[in-house]
Amino acid sequence: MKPTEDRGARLPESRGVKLPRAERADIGLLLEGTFPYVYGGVSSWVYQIIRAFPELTFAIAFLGSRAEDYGGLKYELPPNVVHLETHFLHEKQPPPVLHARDGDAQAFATIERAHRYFRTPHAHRADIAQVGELLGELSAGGRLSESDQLYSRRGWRFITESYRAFCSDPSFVDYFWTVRTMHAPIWRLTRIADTFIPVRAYHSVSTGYAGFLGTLLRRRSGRPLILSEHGIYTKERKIDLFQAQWIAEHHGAFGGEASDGSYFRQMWIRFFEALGQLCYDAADPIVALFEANRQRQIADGAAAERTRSIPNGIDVARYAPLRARRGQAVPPVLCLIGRVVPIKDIKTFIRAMRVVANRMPQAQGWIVGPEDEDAAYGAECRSLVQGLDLGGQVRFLGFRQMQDILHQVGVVVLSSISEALPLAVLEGFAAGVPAVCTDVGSCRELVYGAERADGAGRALGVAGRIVGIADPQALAAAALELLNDSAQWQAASAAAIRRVERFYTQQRMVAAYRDIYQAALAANGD
Amino acid sequence: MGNGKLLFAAAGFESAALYALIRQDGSLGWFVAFLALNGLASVLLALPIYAALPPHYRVPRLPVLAFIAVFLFFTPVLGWLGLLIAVMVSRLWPAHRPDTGFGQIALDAGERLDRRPGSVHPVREAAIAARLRELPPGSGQRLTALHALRALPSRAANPVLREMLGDPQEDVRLLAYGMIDEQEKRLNAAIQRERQLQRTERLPAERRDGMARLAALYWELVYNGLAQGDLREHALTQALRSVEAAQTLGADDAGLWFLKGRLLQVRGAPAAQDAFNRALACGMPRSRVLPYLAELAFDARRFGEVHDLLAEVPPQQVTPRLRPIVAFWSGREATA
Repeated sequence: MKPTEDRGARLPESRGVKLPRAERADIGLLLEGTFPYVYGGVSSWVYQIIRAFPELTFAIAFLGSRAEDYGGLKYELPPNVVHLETHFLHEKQPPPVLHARDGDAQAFATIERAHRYFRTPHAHRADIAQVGELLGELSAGGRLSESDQLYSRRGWRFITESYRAFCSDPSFVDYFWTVRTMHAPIWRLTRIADTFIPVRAYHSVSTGYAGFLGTLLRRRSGRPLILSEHGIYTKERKIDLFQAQWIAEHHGAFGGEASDGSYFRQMWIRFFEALGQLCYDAADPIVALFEANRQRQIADGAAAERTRSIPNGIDVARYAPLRARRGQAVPPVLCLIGRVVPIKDIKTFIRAMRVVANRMPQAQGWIVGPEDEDAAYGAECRSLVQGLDLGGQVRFLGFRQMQDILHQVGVVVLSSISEALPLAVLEGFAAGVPAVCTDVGSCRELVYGAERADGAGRALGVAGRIVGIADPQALAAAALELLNDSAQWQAASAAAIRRVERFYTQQRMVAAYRDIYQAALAANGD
Repeated sequence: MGNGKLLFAAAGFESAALYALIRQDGSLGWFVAFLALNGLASVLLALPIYAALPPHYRVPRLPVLAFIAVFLFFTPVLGWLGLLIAVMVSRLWPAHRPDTGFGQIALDAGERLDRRPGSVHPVREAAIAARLRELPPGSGQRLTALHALRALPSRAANPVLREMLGDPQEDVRLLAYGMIDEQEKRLNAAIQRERQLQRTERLPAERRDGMARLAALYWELVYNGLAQGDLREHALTQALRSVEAAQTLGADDAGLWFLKGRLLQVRGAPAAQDAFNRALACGMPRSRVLPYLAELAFDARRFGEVHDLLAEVPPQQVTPRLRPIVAFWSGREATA
């Protein structure tokens, strides 16, 4: 395949929009399913970082699933984004030209030992060197190509022998296609790595495919790879895979109970664990947004000395004037700020509104965020509103500027089932609005304060309430407690303002990343 | 438009069609007029004839309607007479159906939907829950244990899943959430579908059956522990409304009365007793209703009655879960 073929995959709405191109840049941002084609917390964070460093130039490699899953650009590109290329890993590609081949014996021996490590990393630590060698063989001039996997005799022998030795599922056909499907994005990423423009440092915002691309680029160019993880990619993939209906599952005559899970499911999980591990091995520093996630990274194989926590921060001054615009009375408005997607568990918010409406009929529930990312889920939420007779209480407001909304809001609600450090809560805090959040990510720290040696975290007071996930009754009770008691609400509002001003400012976050970028750029002798 | 008016209009158009046929002079105009009027009369007459048919001849609705209309179109006048005679015969002398002594009774929604191929040992969920609590956080086996709950009936698995929503391990929380959400999603989609169908114009029998299905779906939300607090109350209200709507539309079957009894019972309403009695009167086997009547008696502190009712349950029909309760109250030995 020609190296330029991967440069040009275009988004439907981007046809005619000229994406910036450059020969080189300072930072290569490796982004999977986020900025600039998707709204959301991570995208906002990326946008914030790019704009905070106008003196640096950025080149972006956007990795998506299929072009039709994305609309046009959701953000105006800042002028220091000098290069943007888009790649869709799950789009059908013409296979390489078919011709008979044996495959390189040494390369396949390396593959075998590397896979031994992927299967049981703890038992085969010694084989980790083979993994590095394998990554080296994947480059344009290496001894291993996609044709070797698809067409070579050694490739066929490797897959049939692996099936006999390890696969507990009786279907070879499913095994064969699972292996092929799994490896297709890997070959795609190696071609992207072959052609990505030279930069002085790489910065990936997740492990997974983007992190693997960073791993390949780091190995080829020798330039540093910075990893900033908002959620924990491998964990989220694992949950998706446990739920996935598309994974084949057969049990032989003597085979397994449901609890064993399917062999292919386990294979996919190991695949993403391996991608995560490779990225952790290549990246320095490995940044988490809060301490619990940093511990999780270490548990998943990141070297503790390379990890650190840098919390998100916002421009507090932008939201401060909203505090004065709110009247004396607490507005009876519960506002969920976020994309209408399953991970935000909008349905629990809607269910909670049924409970709130039973006790405070004048209360309103606003859902502020775009609905286009998962139209089916949006429809499900709207039908739930109808089913619970909440047509008069719940409104879908779409994407709005927070400055136009927050002074009318009594409580910011976050009903997510998984989060990192939600910007929406920080924005609410800056405007003096307390939050009722599920106990996910760093929300507990945001509301109650972090455990700190100097005690400053907790001393600032309680900025809202924390409830369990998927518990509409508790969510509603917590929100009503704040809305019905002006003294409690005022105390929470004051604590929210104090906490965001002290610990979650943009200045703190940018200063931390300035140090990281300077160190990475200096590592190249600049 | 009522059936009488339709019949009258159809007769008018058919007479006009016959007039056109008689007056035709070989020109195309008269013939086209005959075809159009005859077609219109056929469609108009098909509706009252369809409505007059016995219920078991009325399905599938559209093909039956189309058949009647086409038959009328191609056999003017004679078709009318033939179909009217057929309707009269079918109503006056219905086909002889031997009385087998068995009535048709709808099963309780919860039990029907809860059944899975292969029986599950009743202590299985307790064992899995214990394992989840004992294994240290971070152990991969906890996810596997949780995954095993998929093999259990929803009613048994859901309390454990709900407990796991508060687990310190995020993977466990998310998997438990996903498993509950999957069930809620399926039920809410079915509820939404039924509600939409209710809004379309349907025959009373279809609306009645739709309401009964809707009631069963809302009950499943409650029975499987998917709705809690105010939302449980909301689901119960919707289920009761749907049962009552189905009954207003003419449903008087044992399954609906039984479901109404269960709904009223979980709400603590004394009217549950009457509903169970109506279910019995409609043919519900007494052994199915006895445990619930005993529960009502227990709640009302009529303990003597509890003993009598449970002693009446035939031993071979006692479920494993109920066995120790029946043994205790009836004084009968609990045998596996």
